[in-house]
Amino acid sequence: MSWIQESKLKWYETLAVNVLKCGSIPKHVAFIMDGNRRFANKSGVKKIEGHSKGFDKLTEVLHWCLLLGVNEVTVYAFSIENFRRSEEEVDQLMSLAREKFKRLLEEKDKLNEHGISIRVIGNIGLLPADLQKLVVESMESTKSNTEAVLNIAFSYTSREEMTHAVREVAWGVQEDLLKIDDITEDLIQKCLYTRHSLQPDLLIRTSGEKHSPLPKKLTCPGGPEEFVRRETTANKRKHGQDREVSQQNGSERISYKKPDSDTSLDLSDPFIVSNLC
Amino acid sequence: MGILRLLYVILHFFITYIHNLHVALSELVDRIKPVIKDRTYHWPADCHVLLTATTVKLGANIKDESLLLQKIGSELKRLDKLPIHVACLLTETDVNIDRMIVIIQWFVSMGVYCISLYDHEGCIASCQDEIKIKLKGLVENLPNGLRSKSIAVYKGFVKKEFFSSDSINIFLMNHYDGKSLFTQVAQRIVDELNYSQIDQSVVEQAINQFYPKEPELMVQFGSLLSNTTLGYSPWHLRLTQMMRAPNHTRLRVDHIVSTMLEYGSCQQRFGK
Repeated sequence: MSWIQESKLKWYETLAVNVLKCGSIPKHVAFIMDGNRRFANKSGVKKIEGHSKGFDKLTEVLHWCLLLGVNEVTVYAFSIENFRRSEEEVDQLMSLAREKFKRLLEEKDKLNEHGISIRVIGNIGLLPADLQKLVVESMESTKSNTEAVLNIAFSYTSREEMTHAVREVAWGVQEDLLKIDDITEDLIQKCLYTRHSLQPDLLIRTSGEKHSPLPKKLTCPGGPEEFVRRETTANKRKHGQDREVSQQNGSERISYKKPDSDTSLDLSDPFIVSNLC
Repeated sequence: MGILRLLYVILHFFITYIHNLHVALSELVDRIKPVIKDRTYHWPADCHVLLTATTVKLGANIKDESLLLQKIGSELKRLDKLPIHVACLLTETDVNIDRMIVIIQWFVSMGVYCISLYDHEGCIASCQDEIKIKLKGLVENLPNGLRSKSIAVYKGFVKKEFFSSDSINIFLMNHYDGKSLFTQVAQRIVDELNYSQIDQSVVEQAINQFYPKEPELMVQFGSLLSNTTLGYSPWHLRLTQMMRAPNHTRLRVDHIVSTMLEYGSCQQRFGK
């Protein structure tokens, strides 16, 4: 299925979008896509089919976000912890990823037309070599787009991201670019995979888990972001309205200031190059 | 087009108003929620436990509450579901120290001896002296076996050498602590090691030199309808189960009991 959905909305969906746009819209929304396997069990299909349907629903959600004017979306697709699943399942997920990234490359003109830039965050070096190439190609072909950003967290955990930042800083010190005293919170922040991103305003975890742990993600230091657990991927549109309204009100209740994001130091290129080799 | 736009704005106002009513109503309902009677919780590891909680009336005498909490604590311990470290996140701007002391007492009665109190701005951390004094009074209200334990109150993260696992440890934290700890650890690692030697286990080992370690459970007070970690040290929130509780000034024993029992019945898959 295509990455860019161009289906028309129903009248009530258009109404919902227009009403929501009268209030404040979060600039960055993050999604944790959970519950694919449970959905597959419920529907009596294979797990990989569940993941595939999850992807289809994701493309719909991305379409809604684009319409609502959400500039940045982060999607947690695959965690390093998920490598612990059975070899068969991991291989199937990697095949699904290959298929989707190939499709993305085929549709890069459409992505460029919408001004969407793709960033894949995580330790890409842990993926199979051909998938790494596809990932880098996707990023390179859309990197000049500025309208909207889609961050795909693939092979990502927050601890690995923070460790990677420390390694980058250590490399800088070894190359005499930095001194130990230069190591501050800001510098570490600038070495994270997510340095170009704003902090998420809203984190949505699908699947209806009531009280869930923050799954090994989200390093974005500090900052109040609200997260809301919502029902299955199926009924997202209706719940989306409640989520948006509660988030708009939430931002009035919580009055803490978020730190500004600073993108002056660009260490991204060594990262991409080192993952190609 | 102008009329349509006006319609959307009116609808938006209307929906926001209803939402605010919903929030206010939820808080009201929570305030007058009935106390726990009999409940069956489904526990993990193929065992079903019927836990009959003693009816806890509002303002019940301390002896009943503490017996109830001890019973729950020992059940959770038996099922390996008693958290070692509980993080209490306060989302409210006004902190009621006396109420926090009572909440700490409840956790200690259950058998949780490591509690961190976190708020974004550091209001709690600035009341360290007041908390120390009031906690001394807490000891008399504890069940018999715990009266001999000492209570230590720390600000922020503390090195292993200064930490005693035998006492009851209370940590007062704000959003600076997590980041500054990580920066400090990063400086030490970079100083001592080559960049190729740095991997996750090295960083983990370095951070584990400081207490408190990862909380197994984080209770978010005052956020009824949504969650936020408010900047709690991200490194430490790997597998933490997050649960919501009402405003700490209105918290009752049965809220804590139901939170702990729900924690006890949850199942973590760790990415598998």
